[in-house]
Amino acid sequence: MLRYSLRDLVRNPRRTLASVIGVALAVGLFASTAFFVDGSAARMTERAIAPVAIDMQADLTSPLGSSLTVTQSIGGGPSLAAGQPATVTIVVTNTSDRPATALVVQDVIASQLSYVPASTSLNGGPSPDAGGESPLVGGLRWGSLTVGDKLTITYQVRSTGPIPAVAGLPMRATVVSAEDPMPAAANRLPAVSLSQFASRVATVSGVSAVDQLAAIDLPAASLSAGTKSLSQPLRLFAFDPVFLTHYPMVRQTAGAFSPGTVLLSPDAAQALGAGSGSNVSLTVPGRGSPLQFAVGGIADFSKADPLFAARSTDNQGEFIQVPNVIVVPLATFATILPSLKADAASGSPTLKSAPVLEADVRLDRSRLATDPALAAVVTQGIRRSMERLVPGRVTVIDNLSDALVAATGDSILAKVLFLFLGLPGVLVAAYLSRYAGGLLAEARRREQATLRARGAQPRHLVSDLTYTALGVAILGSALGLAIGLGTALLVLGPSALTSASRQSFLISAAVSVGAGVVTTLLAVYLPGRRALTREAGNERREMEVTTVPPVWLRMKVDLVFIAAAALVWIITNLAGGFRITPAEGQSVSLSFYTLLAPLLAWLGVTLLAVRLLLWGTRRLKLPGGKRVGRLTTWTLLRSVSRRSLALGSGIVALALAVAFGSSLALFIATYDSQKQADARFVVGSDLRVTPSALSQQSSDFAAQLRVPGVSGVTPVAQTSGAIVGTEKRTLVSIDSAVFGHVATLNDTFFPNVSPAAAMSALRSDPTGVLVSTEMARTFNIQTGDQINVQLADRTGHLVPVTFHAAGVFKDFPGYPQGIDLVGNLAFYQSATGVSQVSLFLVRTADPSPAAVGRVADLIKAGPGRSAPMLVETSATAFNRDQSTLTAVNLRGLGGLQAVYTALISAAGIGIFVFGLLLQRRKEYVTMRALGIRMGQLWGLVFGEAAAVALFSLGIGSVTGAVMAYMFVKILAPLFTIQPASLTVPADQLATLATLVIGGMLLSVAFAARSLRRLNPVELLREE
Amino acid sequence: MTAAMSLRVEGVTKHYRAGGLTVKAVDGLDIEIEAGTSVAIVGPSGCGKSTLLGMLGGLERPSSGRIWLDGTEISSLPEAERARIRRESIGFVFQSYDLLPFLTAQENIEFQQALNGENGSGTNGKSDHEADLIKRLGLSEHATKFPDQLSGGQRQRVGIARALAHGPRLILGDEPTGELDSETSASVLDLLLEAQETTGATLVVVTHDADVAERLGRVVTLRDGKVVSDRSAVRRA
Repeated sequence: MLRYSLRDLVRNPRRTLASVIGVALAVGLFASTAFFVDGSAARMTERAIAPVAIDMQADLTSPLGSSLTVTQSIGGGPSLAAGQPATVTIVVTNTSDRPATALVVQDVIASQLSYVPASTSLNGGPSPDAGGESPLVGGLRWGSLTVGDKLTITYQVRSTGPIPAVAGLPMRATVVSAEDPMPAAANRLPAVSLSQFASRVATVSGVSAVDQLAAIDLPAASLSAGTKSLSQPLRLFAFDPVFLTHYPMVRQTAGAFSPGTVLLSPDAAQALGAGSGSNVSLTVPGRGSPLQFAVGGIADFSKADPLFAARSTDNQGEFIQVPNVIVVPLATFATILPSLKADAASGSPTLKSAPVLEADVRLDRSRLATDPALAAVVTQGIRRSMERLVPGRVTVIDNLSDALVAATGDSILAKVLFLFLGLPGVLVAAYLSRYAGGLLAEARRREQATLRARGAQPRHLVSDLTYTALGVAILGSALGLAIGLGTALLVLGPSALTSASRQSFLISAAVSVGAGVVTTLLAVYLPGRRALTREAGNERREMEVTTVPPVWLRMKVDLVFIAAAALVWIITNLAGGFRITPAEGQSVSLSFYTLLAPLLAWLGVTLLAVRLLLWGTRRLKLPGGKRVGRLTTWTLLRSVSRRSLALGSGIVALALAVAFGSSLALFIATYDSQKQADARFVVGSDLRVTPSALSQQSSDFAAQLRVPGVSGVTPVAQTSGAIVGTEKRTLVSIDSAVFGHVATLNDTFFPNVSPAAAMSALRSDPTGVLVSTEMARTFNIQTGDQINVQLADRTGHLVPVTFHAAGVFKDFPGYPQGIDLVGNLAFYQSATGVSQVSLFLVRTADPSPAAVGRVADLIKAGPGRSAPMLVETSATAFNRDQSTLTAVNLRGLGGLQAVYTALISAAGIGIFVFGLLLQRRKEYVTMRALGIRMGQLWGLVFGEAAAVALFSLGIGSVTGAVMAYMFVKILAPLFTIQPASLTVPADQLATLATLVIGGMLLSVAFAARSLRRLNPVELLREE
Repeated sequence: MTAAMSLRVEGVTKHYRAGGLTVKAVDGLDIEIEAGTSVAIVGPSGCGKSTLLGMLGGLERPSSGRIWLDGTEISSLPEAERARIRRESIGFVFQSYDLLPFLTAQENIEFQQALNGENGSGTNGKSDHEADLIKRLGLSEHATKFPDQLSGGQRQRVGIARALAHGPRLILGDEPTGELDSETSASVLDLLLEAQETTGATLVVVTHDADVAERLGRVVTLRDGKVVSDRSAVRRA
């Protein structure tokens, strides 16, 4: 039987191909999507860790702690009887990396013990009592201890009563030194210095570099140059020059960080009027005389957020950007640290916070697994290894693991999203397989009848079916895997596959084959088993009109699907699933349960449309006159009207494929255009030019930015220190006459009014101000209300300014993080006397990324040469997108699915035409025997195929639009600005339509060839 | 009365390739059939009867030899010409009726007429002819029924009506009673013979039923693709 089944597969290549093609496409689509997801997950890992500036920040928990160690013990056994003598031993060890001088050791003897006079010895020699008491009571002094050296003190005690547990006695010995004025208590964990810790961390496997960093916040007036002194607090960083090469987030804008020199931030340099080569004087609490330094250069810290992050566990993740910064070499900090310790040890310390002593750790990222989950396991292991080096004395801020954990969540979400977006394709390919199986059932039934007539038992027929299904499964899966691999390589390129791990690749391949076997089971085996149970007498019915409606039609499955989709939609809506909430951190929350709704709608709407079509065709008014008229039309109308179920099956298969393709094309086009709109919103326009703090510009600078290709420039001044009541708010001042023409304003930004009306309201009142909806709600501000604000003038003094509310806004271009007030620039400048602006928005005549890039280059090469500035484009903003999920390569997935839509559509129409030939070949040869012309016969096949193609395109397009709308609505968290409507990719939809029609024409052309080859004599004798 | 068609078969052979072997379905046949006569071609299964009928109707070409319908050598004509001759001059009656399942009985008849009519050779009054046929073949009550709503006998009557609808000069029947019981079979054959008599067309029927064969004017017996006997029928009532 096995041989017969295999021979049958080989001898009927077209039939085998029709059975296999659906399985192969389903497996191919599933496999290529899975391979794509694997590759994407790997790229998501890269993308997730790319913005992480410092992999891990390991901070010593006691930066001012003593670097001397004291151990204290009592001899004489675990318990002491009353009056029993015992020896107390105190050992002081210099565990620091520098000598300790002027040591003072003290001890307070426990009340249960009494000191034995003149029993104290120091390093083996006697140490006289002081005033009849132990010399330790007043403090035993010792000159110095070199690195690693020990000082051993012993003295005798006697118990004043029975002591059952000596271990319970308090050990109160302490030691201080000139370098460590904070007392080191007895029996504490051994102290560790930053350099010691850093060198130990460097030995941990997976660590590629360790940089030491120290930081301390110093009070106002700590730094001066000549007669000028900083009126604001100062952040002091200490690191070696190599830190700058490891961490380019600190951007050196002028001079050099040469040994012995310091770096200043632009604000500090400007306030002091200092630059490279200037001398500055640094006052450190706890130190008598100020330190003198030569300024080596200027460094920009505006991008160095991690350096300003709070290190304590209570407020980890908070950033407090300090404008005035000085960077000193680590060696210099080593001389400062004792002063800081002295300050802290004093009765009234000047410093409010302890310094930060930190090892900034870089891991070997190339050794991390591409799977973010696996990579996170490794990085978390490295973190634990670091913590184990000095247990309890270090806190590790694990930025890399945090990013990987976020990416792990995003990668799972992305996988589910991809599979949901790709699932319809797999389903339609599987349906295609089932459809082909149904068409071939007639031929199979005829053969089974013949086999029965030749004496085949039911078990033989079951075996034949099993072997055939197995053959189709193996062939289809193998072909599908090859197609999947080929299309993924072709559409996505080799890098999409090579970036994934071999393990995930093999798992995807295995799951795809599993999907192929399930598809075959559903498409070939089950219908075959059903057919076997039918009566043999019903086997030959080739020429009868199919009158039994399919299950979905009888069971009203379409209506069930639509009702289920509506239910999911309504429940999600009632649960607030469509409300947009701001994304937190790097992850985006998506309700994947809701993704069932478009899938159900896809099936439901398609089937309902076909149901209506069938209802309509059955009611076609056929001309009832005696004259036939045009034979082809006359025959076609009757065939379509009276055999609409056959037509309907074909339309269902093809319309599902078209709906799938068009929904993805619409969704991805909308996604792409919306992401670009988001990027433009983040930038504010096509470009944003931010002059350097060292080279601030006035509004007039806009004229210099009008390089070729620029259609408009507008200045924007921003101040975060606008005081409203007692709160600091952010005021952005714009030129309201020009802003609307340059910035990207969206209708959704302004509730109730258009962007033009909002700008007009601002323009009509110089004191007018637009208020954020949040602020309007907080302060209960209505349009026309007076708003009293205090603004800093150019000397830094606060001046009262009265604004009038001219309207409200939800979002404002260029400020995705949100601002509070938008006012007129001219009024702001006249009220404060500040002529400098914060940035310029630039609109290009051609908004394409290439044109915007060209304008950016022109600006950098033109005005940018003389005035340092940061030029950002929507493209750079797009790449800076923080969420790994929002940056998923939907275009890649779209390309992949487009290929399969084309293949499935072509296969669908091909199988339909092939099915027509197979089912109606006797009908066609009868017509040939009656004398029909080949052209007329071809017209009949063409007419039915064209009807299927056109109806499928119509139904598929409508269903696709419904699905795309639902996808956009569900995936709204991916967008910053919500899309107002779907973006229609006319070229892609036209390509899809062309492919369907082209596939139909090609199939009909093959059919015409086959019709000529049919042997009428043989077929007409066939029963 | 239409002008009947004469047939001449000269040294016709027909080979098929099957399973790597060449099978001679018809092996050097020579037959001549006069216009207006009725001929039965009989023989065991696989003797080449249907192949010969297919070649007579121009459905396929002989491997060698020639076939003339009247003065036209149909065996050398292209398919389009042979199709024209079929729709204008030949009426086919098939064993399994082969009615078009999506057309009613009446529409099946109209289809054959339309094939001819569209070619420009249709005649006025065709509808009368059609009505006459339907009435004559006892199909008036079944005209609007679909084939699967008709009995075997009724279907074959529709098949005969379709074969006669365009006034053929040659009627070819391929086991026209093969799937009918004897009573229905006799009635169907009556109809065919009556039609042949009425129209004056030439009638060639392939059959393995001796009773059917003997009711026709001449009986040609084939075996292994060759004529083994050619005689006048023994007319039976």
